Amino acid sequence: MNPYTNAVTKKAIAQGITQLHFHIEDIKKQELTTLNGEIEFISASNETLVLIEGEYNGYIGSAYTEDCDESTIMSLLENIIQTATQNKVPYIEKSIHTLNVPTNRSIPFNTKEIAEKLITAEKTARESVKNIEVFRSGLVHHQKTITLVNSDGKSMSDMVSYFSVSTNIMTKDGEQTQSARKHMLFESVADVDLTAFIIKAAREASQMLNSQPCASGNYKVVLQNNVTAELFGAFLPAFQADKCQNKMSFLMDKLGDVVSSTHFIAYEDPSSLIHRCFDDEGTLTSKKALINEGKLSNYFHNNDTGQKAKQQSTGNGFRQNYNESISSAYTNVVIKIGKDSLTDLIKNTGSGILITSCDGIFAGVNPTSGDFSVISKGYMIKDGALAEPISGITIGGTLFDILSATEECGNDSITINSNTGIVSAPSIRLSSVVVTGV
Amino acid sequence: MLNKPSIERIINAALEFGDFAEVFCERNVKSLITANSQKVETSSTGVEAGTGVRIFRGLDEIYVYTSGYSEDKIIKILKDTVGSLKNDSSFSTPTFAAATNYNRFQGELHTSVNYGRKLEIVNRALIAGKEYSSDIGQMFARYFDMCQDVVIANSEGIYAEDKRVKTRMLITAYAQGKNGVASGWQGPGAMKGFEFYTTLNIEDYAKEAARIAINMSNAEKCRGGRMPVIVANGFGGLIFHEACGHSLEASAVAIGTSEFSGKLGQTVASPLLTLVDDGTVDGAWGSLAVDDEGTPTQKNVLIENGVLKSYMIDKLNARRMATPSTGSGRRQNYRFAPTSRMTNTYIEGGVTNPDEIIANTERGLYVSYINGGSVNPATGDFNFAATESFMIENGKIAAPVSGATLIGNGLQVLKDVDMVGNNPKLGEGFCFAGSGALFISAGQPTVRVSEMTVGGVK
Repeated sequence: MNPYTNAVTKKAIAQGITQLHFHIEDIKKQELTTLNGEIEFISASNETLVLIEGEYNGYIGSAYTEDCDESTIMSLLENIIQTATQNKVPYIEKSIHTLNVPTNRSIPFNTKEIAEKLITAEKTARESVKNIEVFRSGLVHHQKTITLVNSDGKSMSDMVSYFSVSTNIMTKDGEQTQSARKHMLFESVADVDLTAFIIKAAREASQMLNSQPCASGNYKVVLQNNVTAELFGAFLPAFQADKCQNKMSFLMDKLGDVVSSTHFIAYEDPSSLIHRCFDDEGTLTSKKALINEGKLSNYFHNNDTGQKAKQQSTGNGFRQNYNESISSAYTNVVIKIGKDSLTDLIKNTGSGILITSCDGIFAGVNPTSGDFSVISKGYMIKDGALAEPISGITIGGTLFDILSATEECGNDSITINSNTGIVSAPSIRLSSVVVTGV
Repeated sequence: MLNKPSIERIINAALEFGDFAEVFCERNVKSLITANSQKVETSSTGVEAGTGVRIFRGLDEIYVYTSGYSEDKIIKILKDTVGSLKNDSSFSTPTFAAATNYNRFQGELHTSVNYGRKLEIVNRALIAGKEYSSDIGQMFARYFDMCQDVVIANSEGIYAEDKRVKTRMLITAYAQGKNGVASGWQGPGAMKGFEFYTTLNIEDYAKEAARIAINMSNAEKCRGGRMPVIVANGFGGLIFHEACGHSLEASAVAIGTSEFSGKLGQTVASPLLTLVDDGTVDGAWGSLAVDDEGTPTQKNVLIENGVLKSYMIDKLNARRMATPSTGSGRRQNYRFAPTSRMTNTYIEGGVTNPDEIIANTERGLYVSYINGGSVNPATGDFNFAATESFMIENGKIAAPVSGATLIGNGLQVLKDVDMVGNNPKLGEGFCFAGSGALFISAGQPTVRVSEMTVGGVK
């Protein structure tokens, strides 16, 4: 990139633009999908995305490009001048530490080997699970190098690298059709049992055949780990300090308040799968509590929101996309695991419901009001054991309802994508949840 | 962008690995402004630029892409990825047709509009919403425009060029009422240039967003149960986008994961329902002249008076189904391989006055605005969340309720539609699925479903 950033810097200075700051993302992605025992889709990509910010007459302006051709530089500089002149947002100096995490790690993505693993897992699942009609699985490797460079030549960089696996299985028995869709993230293919993950999804799809809605009412509920992660993850925008300061979040003015039972502990750990030593403003990141000892412990702050709240940035000044301005966001949010297995959580429930999947989370969860109501599937729990499958129901309430009703967390954490970050969560048992069925 | 000889060389190189090859090359100049009542939050102007190459090997699909326009780079990624899958026999070099240019744009290009004029539209919306009531805690506006130049060429000889010009303004109001914080939104958009803003009153949209937010912040929480549901005209048509639209996409139909697979010609819905997907609607947000595979868009009647007539079909699934594409192959940008997706999907108008529909409903839920939803095409189970809804008591709209979610099964809901209004209208939104986030319209007249599950939060 040096020739390009140098060329931009030289032409920018000639136009009266100074204090240039580059946010550069190099993204590589490899993907393989199988359908009914055969390779269906292979994909690979390599992108370089560049955001340029600069000072013009005391104001900050910006422009972005995915075409690093010197012939386009002048139109980018014109964008910087126009946005600086019209927005009149004062330029604030950005700090760049000299910090370069090794970014030359190469993760092998052996297409043949991965196809074999997925196809073998499917074969094993088909041998032990009945009524499978359509079987699709996919594995993706994501790699992103983030580099911040200023016109003095200082730079800092970090690399995010992880795999995701997904499976979507449809089962059929006569006129009855059901399906299960699951995904999870992990660091290395060697660390996970793909077959176990895929078989679990296949069993769920098969067992859901002939499921019915249960009666409406308040139930003791166990949320399976993927459901906990999806639900809590959908509420995470409410923890953004900018949302709270702008009166767009039900968590505003709640810092330090009791919002949860003491069993629910959540924190952000920037050293996990999304590895970020610094945020997009160059602030060094650190581990921080979100909910601890039942209290709301932190919001996600960037430099601007931190200044308004008379505190330091929490290292959460991230861009939602590389080409957008700084907002506040998160890397890896973790809900602390407990000691019980999922089986123990179910056993100690006595009577209630296990929720194994939810759909429509993005529409059914409202991070402004804190309400949620989502279509769900699962099993009745009777005498501490799973009983008949249920579907066509909703679970609903508020985030505070979930947090305050948490009685126990399991030891079975799963990691999934959520908004712009990721969430790791175990199964949890809740004392009471509103269920709408028949 | 890549020139024609370069694209032809890439297609010829790609044909070493399959029996069909396609190049999608785009340059999309975009502006995004997000602002609240205090300040501009995001001011993002720039260029999305890249190249995607797709190959079919029978029914297998290979897709590689890169930012920018480097012939050497894209061919290297291709060879690094599938070098071991070289064809046993070679395919003859195709003959490429002269370029077909689908660009008919005659309005004011967003790229020629000064940034300050765009910011003025944003500020007008923010001020109008804030002035609507002192109960409005915050206004938020998201202005978006794009001028996307595309070239789509394939080994069948297609060489299509187009310019897609779109703009949309999403206005969200936040209010603090007796029952907490709530929001309301409006999002007018069109396949038009900046002249779009001379034809609409942006202040009216901002005030409507503010009214919804205040109403919902004071509304009681919805109590769930089974009841009749009336969905108002406009973007409420998303109920059919979710209930059956996705299940009519060939990506689900062709591999048997749709409840509509194998049901062409059968009665699948109430005779009151005619469902259309039409990418040719003049100036509509979900329109495009040519799809992202180089096939001209068309009006596809999917369900006519309750009978299943057609699916939405892309090129790969056209192979699977041995039937032609319906001009439904779409993608968000060069990062996605295209697949069958919706454009402007709507229920045609019926004969009943909407007031009559409400008067004929003793008790139920009236959904005036919806937020979004999703569907499992395999089972047809869908859900969507209401932005604003009211209880209906004794044939009249009664108290507002917040937090309502509607769930149901596509095939069942299609049969349970028992009244269709005479007031059809399109609304604008986004659809998130396999080939990315696409601009779509959804529309309908006022429609009543005789009974649905309403999910509540108490």
